[in-house]
Amino acid sequence: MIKAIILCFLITTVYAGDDKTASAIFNMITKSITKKSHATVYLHTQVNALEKHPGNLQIIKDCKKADLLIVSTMDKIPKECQQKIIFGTRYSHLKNSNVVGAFFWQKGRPNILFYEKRLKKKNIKLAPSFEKYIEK
Amino acid sequence: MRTLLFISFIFVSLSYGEGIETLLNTYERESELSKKTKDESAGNLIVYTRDDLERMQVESLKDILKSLRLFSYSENRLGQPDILNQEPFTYFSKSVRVYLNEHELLTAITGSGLILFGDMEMDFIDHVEIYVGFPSFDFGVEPATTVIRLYSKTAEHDEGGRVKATLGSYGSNKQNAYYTNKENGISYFIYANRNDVKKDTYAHDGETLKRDLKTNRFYGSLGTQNHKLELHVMETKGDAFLGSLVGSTPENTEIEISFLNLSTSSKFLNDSLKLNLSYINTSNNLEYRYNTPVQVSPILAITTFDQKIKEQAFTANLRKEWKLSNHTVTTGIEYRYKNFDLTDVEFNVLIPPIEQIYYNENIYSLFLEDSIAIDENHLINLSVMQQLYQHEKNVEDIDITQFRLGYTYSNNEWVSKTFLSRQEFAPEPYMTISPQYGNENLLADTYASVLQELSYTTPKTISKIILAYGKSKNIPILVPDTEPDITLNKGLIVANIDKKITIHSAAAEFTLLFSQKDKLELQANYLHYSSLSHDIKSSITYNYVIRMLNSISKFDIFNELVIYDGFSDTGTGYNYSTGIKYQVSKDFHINVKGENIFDSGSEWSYINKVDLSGNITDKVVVPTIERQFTFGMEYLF
Repeated sequence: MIKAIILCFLITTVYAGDDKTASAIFNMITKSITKKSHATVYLHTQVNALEKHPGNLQIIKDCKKADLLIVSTMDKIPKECQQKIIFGTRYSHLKNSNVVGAFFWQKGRPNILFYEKRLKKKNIKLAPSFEKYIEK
Repeated sequence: MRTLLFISFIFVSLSYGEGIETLLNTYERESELSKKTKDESAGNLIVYTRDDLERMQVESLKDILKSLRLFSYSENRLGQPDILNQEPFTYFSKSVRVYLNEHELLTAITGSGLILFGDMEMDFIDHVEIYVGFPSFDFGVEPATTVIRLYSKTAEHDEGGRVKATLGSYGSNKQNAYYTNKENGISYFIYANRNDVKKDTYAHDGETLKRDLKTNRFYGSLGTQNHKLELHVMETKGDAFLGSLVGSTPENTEIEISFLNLSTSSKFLNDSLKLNLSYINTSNNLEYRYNTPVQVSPILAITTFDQKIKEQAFTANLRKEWKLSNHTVTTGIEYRYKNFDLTDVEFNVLIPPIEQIYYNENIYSLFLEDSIAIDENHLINLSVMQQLYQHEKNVEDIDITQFRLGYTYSNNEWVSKTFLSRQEFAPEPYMTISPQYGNENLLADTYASVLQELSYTTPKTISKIILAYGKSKNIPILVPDTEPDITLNKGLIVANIDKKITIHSAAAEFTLLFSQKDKLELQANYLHYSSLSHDIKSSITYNYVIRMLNSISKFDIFNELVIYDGFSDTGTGYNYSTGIKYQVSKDFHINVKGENIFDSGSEWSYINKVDLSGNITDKVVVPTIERQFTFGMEYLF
């Protein structure tokens, strides 16, 4: 039985390869922003990779208790959470000054981008490995 | 269960232990759209990923068709793509089908879109899949020997825009731009292109033959998660090279084509039900001028030829998939309506109005496929497809059937694919209604084939061997017409040869992945075409490909050598191409590319004159792919 479960797990891992890697990237970003290994994250509204593979993140349903909001749309973010740390999944999300950074596809390639001013405003100091993704 | 948790922990720990940059690179590789669209069990597959297309500096589809297994890229008498070209037919590649996303690009008269899109610019295409050797029936309404699937860039992967310009030999130039985005669950993609292809000119019989072409294209799509609307418009105008008539070297030839395609694709019931609708409207204007009259029939010699061809096609395609235990059963009901008119012809002399035997064709198609996963290593595919070609007036309907059996074995290193198929191809309208050589009594040509592919993959290498054997009968060829319509017919008619033709082919491929961004590809291909008929020549052809892709710092370097040997019409030659792409900044790239640098590529000989006994007395020989240098730049925003 254990063998069968391991097999299923390995097959799922292979088929869901890109979601799992996306989740690993979200985990690294979240850890760097929150400085927590098991940060609480509120997903607004649908972030497939994290819904399927949360990794070390604790996905919660109450945005007020979240360390970080990861958003797939800027529409209808609960009012009481609009001043929380928000991280986007599209380049266009960065137009909103409350969004500190985003992990998004552009020009056929995945990108990570943070704005220095917005990070400072939220007192966020990212790990040195993220330095090249910060726009000054 | 503890073992499972332990493995999960190790996997997750390893993943999160990697650097963010490495993870981003891995994510980019894993997310290639070709991994989501390709179907390994659908046939003998060649994939050009986005990364391949960009680093090989693929400007047009012919840049990859020129190194396709077993074929040598060639063009028809009008300078249009026709990789199965049989002189002096205007088009012979009816079984090579081209798709853009879910929809077939076709012209109603020729039955295939390769003639219009085989040299299309690739700037809005994300990746290309080419299925060779009678692929799955799942793809479309009608059978195919080769399916070329083009997938456009998507808002999900390309948010933002790009402008690009190139300048090449003889003053060729191209400019295009695209922009794509996704807002509130609705994604859109807009692309516009202007392409001015200029080629060398060829002096023959005191005339100058030209192959220049200007093309404008618009492609736009609007979609949600389950529905997509696409609009594709193309206007092209230029030289028609030798023109379709045989007998005299033209002083001037012109071709003007308008193409419009409006299509929708929808998915329902968790993607298990798909509905695709497509409407295509095409018009072709041809003008030929001759100083020396061309004899188009025993009683008619002309110096001017003007023809307007109008075509329409509507396709509806409904597919349903069921997963039942280890069976995946797919069925499709498909309908295609074609309308065409070749009768608008004017010469410098008066002739009676041309009659066309039929103007409309209705194609009804039904397919059933069962994929049986015996276990995780063994997969069997059983497919059957039936078509009814219904014509108006007194032209007989054609009823054809296709069968296909596939077996795929795969483990972590080895993949073996075996395909057995028997297919029939109905004659396309241009062979039955052509006033010059059409024959309404043509039968379907039939093919039976077996194909074996074996590949072995290690982290650094991919080795592949492909063996195929096929038999065909009822191939259409031009033969003397015993009862010609002397107005426009020169005494030749298309007819099926009843003798069988056998084809043996073998291909060996080896890919060495030096590192994440460097690879060497080697290919050797052999094709033996034996004919029992005196009307078709037997031949043995070889082609070899050596391709190297390297990335050094901000440079992407591409080298490719394609060697052709034994092709009866193209002869022997080699085509060496190289290119360098430099990333000036993350958003600004420049590139330089040389195509057929030593001007030693293959040539094609076109029949220009035939004597009264049907012997060829004059040919025009020109390079299939000319020497060309291109400089380009692109800016992403």
